[in-house]
Amino acid sequence: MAQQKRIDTDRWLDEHGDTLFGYAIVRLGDRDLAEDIVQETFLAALRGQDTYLGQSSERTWLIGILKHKLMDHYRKRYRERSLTDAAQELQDDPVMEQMFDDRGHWKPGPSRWGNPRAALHEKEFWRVLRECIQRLPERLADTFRLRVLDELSSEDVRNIMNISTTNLGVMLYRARLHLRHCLERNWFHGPTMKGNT
Amino acid sequence: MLACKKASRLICDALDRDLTRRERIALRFHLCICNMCRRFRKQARFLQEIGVELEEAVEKGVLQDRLSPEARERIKEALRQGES
Repeated sequence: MAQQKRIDTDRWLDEHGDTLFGYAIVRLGDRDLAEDIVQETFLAALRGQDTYLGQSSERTWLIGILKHKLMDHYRKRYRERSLTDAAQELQDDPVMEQMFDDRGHWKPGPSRWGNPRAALHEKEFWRVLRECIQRLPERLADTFRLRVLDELSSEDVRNIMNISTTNLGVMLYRARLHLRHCLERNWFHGPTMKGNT
Repeated sequence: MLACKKASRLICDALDRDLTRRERIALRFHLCICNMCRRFRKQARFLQEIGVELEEAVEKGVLQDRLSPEARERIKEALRQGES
């Protein structure tokens, strides 16, 4: 009779729980949702433990399962094709309206950020970035997450989110403009300058 | 002649697809004479890079997101049930 090696699942949680959770929450922005997906991931890992042959580290294996769960989540969320008109969305975007004047010039335009890479060493900066992503309208946030955080190809993002090339272009454009604006106001040039909390 | 609004769109598009030759030329010309858009391009590229680096920050635990004790226990319990 085959002897099944018992996995110490408590150890799994202690060693990997927070990392998986951190990974999930950056992509989902919602604690409850992130907790659910982490739980699903561990359960799937438990059921599929025979497929883990030690070809990668345990954590890499678990993150792989988590990524699948996240993709399933996105596909389900965006299964219904969006009927919004991308060009109209762009026009209706109040943040965008403030950025350019009638002639299409910056109003007032990006401020100097100095040496932005220096910010990467500051823990607080990552929180601000994560917060700024979360503040995006949900579809824009998800598009940005899939394309930039997960580095999926434009085609893959379109498939998962069930949108056209035009839609994707507009959404990423809006996401980047919003994000840039948010980071400028909350980090590089805003009242909450790094160091002053 | 491109206006900045259109240029900013092309700058973003260039991060996800190849621009057409016409678009490339128009954008290059605009960037020669517009420092605002040059600045914007630097910042847009920075945003692209840090997206990737956020990944690493997460894996290194820089953000210190933690499961709540309740969630941790709940999941542990679910796994114990799953094992039996």
